[in-house]
Amino acid sequence: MTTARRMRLAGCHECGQLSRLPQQHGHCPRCGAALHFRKPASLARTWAYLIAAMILYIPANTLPMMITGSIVGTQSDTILSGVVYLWTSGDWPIAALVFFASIMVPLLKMIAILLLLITCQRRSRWQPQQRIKLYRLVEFVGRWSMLDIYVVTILAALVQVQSLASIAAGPAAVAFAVVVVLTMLSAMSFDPRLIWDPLDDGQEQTGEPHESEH
Amino acid sequence: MPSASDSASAPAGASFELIACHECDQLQQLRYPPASRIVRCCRCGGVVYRYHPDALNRTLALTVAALLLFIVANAFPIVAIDMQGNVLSTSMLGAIEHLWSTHVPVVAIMVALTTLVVPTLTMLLLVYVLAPLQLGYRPPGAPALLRLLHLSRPWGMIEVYLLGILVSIVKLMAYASVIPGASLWALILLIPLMAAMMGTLHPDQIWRRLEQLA
Repeated sequence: MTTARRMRLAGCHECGQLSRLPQQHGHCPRCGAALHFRKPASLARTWAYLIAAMILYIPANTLPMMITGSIVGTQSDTILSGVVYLWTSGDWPIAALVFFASIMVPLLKMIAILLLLITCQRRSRWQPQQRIKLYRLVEFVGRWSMLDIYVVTILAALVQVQSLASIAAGPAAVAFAVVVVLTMLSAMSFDPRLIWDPLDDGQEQTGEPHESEH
Repeated sequence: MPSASDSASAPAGASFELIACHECDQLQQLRYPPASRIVRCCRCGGVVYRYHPDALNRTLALTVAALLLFIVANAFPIVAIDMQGNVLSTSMLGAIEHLWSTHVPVVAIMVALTTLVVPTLTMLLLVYVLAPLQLGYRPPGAPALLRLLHLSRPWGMIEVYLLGILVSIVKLMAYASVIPGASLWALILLIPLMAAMMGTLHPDQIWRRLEQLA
């Protein structure tokens, strides 16, 4: 059991080619992409995107997402009140879907990244198998938060009956779209190999001399 | 121990190569061509390699089909609603245009990028790179374009968009009669095609072909 870094090898992120990397940074001989053992400043970047996303998550949920105008007056809906409205009007499967995609997914995603960041920073060896699964889940599920943005896009473009009914996107749409982008960037800048590094380093200290044939 | 530089130069027949897992940096041997379609890491279980004997051909065919469907999806309205005699409809471009013209250009740019620019770019890049490769010559500028493809890949969100459209339809059904447009059917067919298009391909296989032709 050995890692590529210990053999001074680095796998290219773009093309998968494994090549010898004498310094910390270099370029892939096959495709020319930047090559490094670990993503540079991974934890700092992930923190930065995550904190920005957390701050914007507040206006995304408190400001109105959708402004509906009709003859009786205008009504502003936040994401949550939109879900409540769907729920009370009997569309509970759609209500659950929107609640899950726009409220639970971003929140759980931020908590998951926070957990990964803290454990990696403390060089924890706790449950790497489970943590890598969490990371894969975060990467897979993040894009589905865009759901509410698309719903507002379609509704706003469609419902434009002069003075009778109109729907417009509210300020929360901007904040929410940025939250989705920031959490995706945060997950992308996190290097999952950091989860395994403490285990590998521990193995190196406890024995099996690995300086071989070169 | 085989060095990394000579690992890529075995063109045909089974050979053993070193490969590093992207998610845990575990160094392991890859038998090329692999016996199974998906090769998983021996430590963390992450996908190390995707292989299909005819991957490039398959992806090219699926991409051409997806591109045609995508043109249909953009040329026709997604849905029309009949609201007390007012028939309103919107297309993918129309929805983005409307967001742009009403005070939320940031969201408009996000929606345009994720549902229009990135999917178009992905498909055009794949056709541009794969078609010449199948005909037996190197497309100029391939390395930079493949890097662009890798970079833009996570930002295409057509499948989320389709779900958004379906949610909007359910929301609208309470107020108006909804008439699904040709674009909606095209999108429904497009999603499995795009999933299959990306699913069989590992970038390493494109690079192997490029190297053979160099």
